[in-house]
Amino acid sequence: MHPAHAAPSPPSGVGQCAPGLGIGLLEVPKATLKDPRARNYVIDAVKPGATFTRKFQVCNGTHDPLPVMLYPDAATISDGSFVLAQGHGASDLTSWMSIDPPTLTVPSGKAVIATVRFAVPVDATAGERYGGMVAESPAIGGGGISVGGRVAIRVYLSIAPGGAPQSDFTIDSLQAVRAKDGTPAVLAKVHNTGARALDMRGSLKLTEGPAGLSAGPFDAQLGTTLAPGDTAPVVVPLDKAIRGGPWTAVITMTSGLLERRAEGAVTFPDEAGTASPAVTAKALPLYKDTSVVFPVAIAVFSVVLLVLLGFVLWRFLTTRRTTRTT
Amino acid sequence: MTPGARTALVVALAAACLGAMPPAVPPVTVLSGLLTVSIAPAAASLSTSGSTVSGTLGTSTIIDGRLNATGYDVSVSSTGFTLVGASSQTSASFIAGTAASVAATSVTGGTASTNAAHALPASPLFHLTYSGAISLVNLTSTYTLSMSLTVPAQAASGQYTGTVTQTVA
Repeated sequence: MHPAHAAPSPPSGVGQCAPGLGIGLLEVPKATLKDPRARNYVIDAVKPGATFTRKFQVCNGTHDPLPVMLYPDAATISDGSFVLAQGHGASDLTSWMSIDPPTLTVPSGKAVIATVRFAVPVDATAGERYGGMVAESPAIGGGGISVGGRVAIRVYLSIAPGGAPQSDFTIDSLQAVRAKDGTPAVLAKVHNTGARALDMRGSLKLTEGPAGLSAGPFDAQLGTTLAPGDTAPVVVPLDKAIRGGPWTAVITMTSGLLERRAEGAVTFPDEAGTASPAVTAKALPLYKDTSVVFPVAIAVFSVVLLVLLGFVLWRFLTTRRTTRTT
Repeated sequence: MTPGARTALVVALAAACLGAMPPAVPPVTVLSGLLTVSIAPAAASLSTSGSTVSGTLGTSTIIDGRLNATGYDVSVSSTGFTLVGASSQTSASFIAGTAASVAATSVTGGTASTNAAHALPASPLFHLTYSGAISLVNLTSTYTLSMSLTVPAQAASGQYTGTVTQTVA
């Protein structure tokens, strides 16, 4: 990678739209309303023969009316990335999708709503398919070369005759590294052991470091997508002040509503551009997760309190009734 | 037929009908948030030096305004690169990538791509410069894009044209 340089100022948006060509999902199934992935992507699991629609918007953040093509495109997941096909890629998923309207001109600063319809054939085989709803603006010419932009909503459609397949993953190892610019990082090797794709996010805390120091949480770099069976590293960049070790690294990774935690002892190399040996990550059970333990403890305490109160009330009423009788 | 038997029959018929029907349209609610890409207009240009064709492709900005954003991938592809004006070359190839050849005076089917999450790495065909602020809430990346293409020396004297497409998903 070339060295980073000062970022130019981003162009300003127009009207209700951020600068450039934008796309966003407008609908999500109520059943998956709490799943952050469902808010950004189509991640439905349906039976063969299912039909459904989803509305989305296309926004023009330029100063002129923008002609836009809307079409389904095929996609693959490889090397931890979700990659749409160049041009109009075809797959069985794209043959099940239709977008209305296929072309439109979006007024400056305005959003236009479009609808994608999915019609899964009754003889569709089980498995997850990948694709996207693409909005493409015309390439801008100049100096012998034109540059065009496409923006898309991902589709992870699972055909599941027997119900939605399970998602799961493991965090297999942790590795402390120091980048060429001196930034330390932890590489968490994540293995998708479920039957659906994963979009990883997470954070890492360092505890029990030199002199009892703690640090974090540090957010993981986003954008790692894993197909079923895939393994890929998720990078957690840390502060440059982090040195040496050993530290206990506790990492929490999520994909949608699925969460896994693991820990391992890591020691950061001092030399830039080097890595320490990877260590096996030890999975942490949920009962060690304070975000789970506290609500459960409060719930148990509340139940015990209610039972005690009920018992006291029952004793009080029984005693009073006995007193009146005598 | 007894009332109990009638009820059982109705339940069985309803179950059979439901089982034969495709799943109902899922109920939905309205959301907001957009993934946008903007490309600086009229900033692209091509130049040749020896056997290298260089392209400056301007500045791109990606703004992820979706709620609970989980990241995005950027891919860059080139299509339709054509050479006009040179002669006598019979074959050529890009530095790497897929499907590149020169037939007579045209580079046909020139296609290569690279992709990454945010960190747009250097690739054999496209040498990318990336910089930008990335946050969990509003993932914004601004980067400039340039390309470098090696062709046979005898082909470098021609006029190249082509299209580069950036895709964000």
